[in-house]
Amino acid sequence: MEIKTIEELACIPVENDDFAAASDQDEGDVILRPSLNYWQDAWRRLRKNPVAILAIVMLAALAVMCVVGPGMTGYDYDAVSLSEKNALPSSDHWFGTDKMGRDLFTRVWIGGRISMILGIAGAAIDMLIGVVYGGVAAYFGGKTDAIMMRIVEILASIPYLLLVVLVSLIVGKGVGSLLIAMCLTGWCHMARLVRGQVLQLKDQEYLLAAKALGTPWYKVIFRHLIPNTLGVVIVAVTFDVPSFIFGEAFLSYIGLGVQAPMTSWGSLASNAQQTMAFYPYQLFFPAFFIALTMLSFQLLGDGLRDALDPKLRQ
Amino acid sequence: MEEKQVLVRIEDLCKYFRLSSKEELKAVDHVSFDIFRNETVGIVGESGCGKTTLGRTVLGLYPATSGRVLFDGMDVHSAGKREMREFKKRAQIMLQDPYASLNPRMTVRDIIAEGLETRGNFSKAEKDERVCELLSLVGLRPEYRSRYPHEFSGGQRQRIGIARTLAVEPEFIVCDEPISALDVSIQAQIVNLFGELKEKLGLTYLFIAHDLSMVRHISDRVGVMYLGMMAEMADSRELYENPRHPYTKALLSAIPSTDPDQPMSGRRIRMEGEVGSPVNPPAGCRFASRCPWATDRCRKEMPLLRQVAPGHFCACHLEERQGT
Repeated sequence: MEIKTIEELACIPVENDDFAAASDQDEGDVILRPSLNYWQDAWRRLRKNPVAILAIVMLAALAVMCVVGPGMTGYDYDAVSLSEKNALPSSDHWFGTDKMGRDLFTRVWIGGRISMILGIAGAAIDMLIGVVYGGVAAYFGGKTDAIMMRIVEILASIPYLLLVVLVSLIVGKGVGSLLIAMCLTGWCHMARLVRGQVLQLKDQEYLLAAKALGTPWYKVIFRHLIPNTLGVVIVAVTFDVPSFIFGEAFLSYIGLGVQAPMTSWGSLASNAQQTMAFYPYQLFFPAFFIALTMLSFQLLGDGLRDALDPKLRQ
Repeated sequence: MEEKQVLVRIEDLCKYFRLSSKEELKAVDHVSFDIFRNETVGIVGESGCGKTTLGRTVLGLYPATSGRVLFDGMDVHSAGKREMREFKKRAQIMLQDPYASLNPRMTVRDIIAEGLETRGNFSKAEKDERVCELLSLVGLRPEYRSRYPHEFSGGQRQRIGIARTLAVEPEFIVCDEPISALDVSIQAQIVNLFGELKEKLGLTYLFIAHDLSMVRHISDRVGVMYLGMMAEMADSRELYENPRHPYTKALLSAIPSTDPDQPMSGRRIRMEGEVGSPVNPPAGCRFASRCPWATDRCRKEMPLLRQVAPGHFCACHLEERQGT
C-alpha cells in the first residue's frame, strides 16, 4: 500500500520480528568461496578474462595451422613453378605465390613453425636460465651476487651480431645455431629483472616468518619467491617472444638465419619487402601472422599477470 | 609461590653487526636474563635500542656474536639441524608488520597451513579442519580461509599471523612489536587475545614493544633496554611504581596521564641531548650523555646490571651508591 502521511504510517501494525536483534551469525553475510589453492584460483580468474581466452584460442589456432597448414594445399613449400610466378591469391594458391612460383600458403605455415618454435623455445630458455641465475644471485647476495652480476654485465656488453656470426661459424648456419646465439646473451635482462624482484622480496617479513617456521628452502622458493616474481617474469616473456621472432627475421635478412629454401615469417617478410610496391600480398600474409602472434602473446601475458595477482580478483 | 621453572636462559648475549672493517654496530651488548615458564617478559626501549635484534637472536634467526641462549637446556646457537627443527616447533615469532608478514599471493588457509606443516603431515581435510579451529581461536570466521590477506584489515591480518604462529603449537613466542602497527582500539583487542591464549595454551612470551602502558598490562616482568644494553629489569608492578634507573624514570614520566584531573602526576623528567649511536658507543654508561644526574664515573666506567632489591635489577652507578 502507498503511504502518504505520517498518520497513515503510524497505522501500520508493527510486527515484533521487525525489531528482533540480528543474529550473531548472519547467514546472508557469509560468502563461501570454493576451496582453491593459488594456482587453481589463478586459472579460475584467467578463464573469466575473455581477452586472455581469445588470445589462447588464437595461439592454439596458429599452432594447429602450423602443424596441418603445409599439408592442406598439396603443394610442397619448395616446389618451384616458373609458370606461376608472383600469382595473386586465388582458389589454386590461397595466399598467392612468390617470385619463384612457390605456394605462399604452404610457405607461411612452414615459416610459422620456425618462427613459433624459435620464439617459444628462445623465451623459455631465457626464462629458465634468467630466473635461476637471478634468483640465486639475489638469494645468496653479497659477494656471490656481485660476482654473478658482473658476469652478466660482461656478457650483455658483447655485441649481439658478433656473437651470432661466431656461433654460426662454429655450429653452422640454421635454426639451432640461431637459437644458441640468441639465448647466449638473451637471458641477461631476465636475470637482472628477477634479481631485482627477489632482492625486494628478500626483506619481506613473511620470508622471515617462513624461516622461523622452519619451512624448507624449496618450499620457500616455490611458495613465496616464484609466485611473487612471476608477474614481472611473465611480462618480460611476452616481450621476449616477439623479440626472438623479430631477431630471427633480421638475421635471416642478412643471411645468417634460416637458409633457403627453408623459410620463416621473418625471411618471408624480408623477401617480399623488395617487391612490396608490386605484390603487397606477399608481404601482407607473413606480416599479418607475425602481428597476430605478437598481439596474442601480449594479451595472454597481460591476462596472466592479472590472473596471478589476487588483489585484482573481482 | 610455586617453583618457577626457567624456560629460556639468556647468558651474556651479544649481537654485533659489522658495518665495515672498523665499525661495529652493537645492537645487543652483554644482555642476560631468564624467562620463566608461563611468564610474559616485556622488553621496552626506544627505536633502535636492539629490542627486535634481541628477539630474533634469541630465536636463532640471527647468529649470536657471543653468549648463549639456552632453551630448556639446549643451546640454540650451537644446535644441530634436527635439534633446530625441534626448537622451531617449540619457539616461534610474531612479527610486527601485519602488512608485510603475510604473503599476498597465498590464501589464509595456505598461510596458516604453512605453520601446520612443521608439525608433520596432515591430510587435506585435517589441515582444513585445523585451520578452521585456529581461525575461530583467534576470533576470525572460518569462512575467511579462502580469502587473500589484502581483503583484511590490519587487526584481522595480525590475527591471521597469530593463527599461523599458533598452528605450530609453540610453548614460547617472541612477540616482536605485534601491536605497534595497529590502531589503539585494535591494540587492546590483540593484547587481550594474547592474554587469553596464554591462559588457554600455557604460553610463554617475550613481548617486545615501545608502548609502556600496554607492556605493563600484559607483562609479569619488564626489561628496559637502552642502546643494546639492559638498563633495568624488574617485576612489572615494581618497575612502574618504583623505577630506579634514570632512563626508566624518564620514560615513565613521559607517559601521558589518562586522568584529566591529575595531569602528568609528578614532574616530567626531560632528557637532554641526543641518543648515542650504537656504532661507537661511549666508554662509560650509555645513558650518561642524556642523564641529568650523570657523574664523571658514569662517563668513564660502565655500570653493571646488579640486584638492587629482590628481583629488581638495575645498571646504574647512582643506584649502587644508594644501595650500599
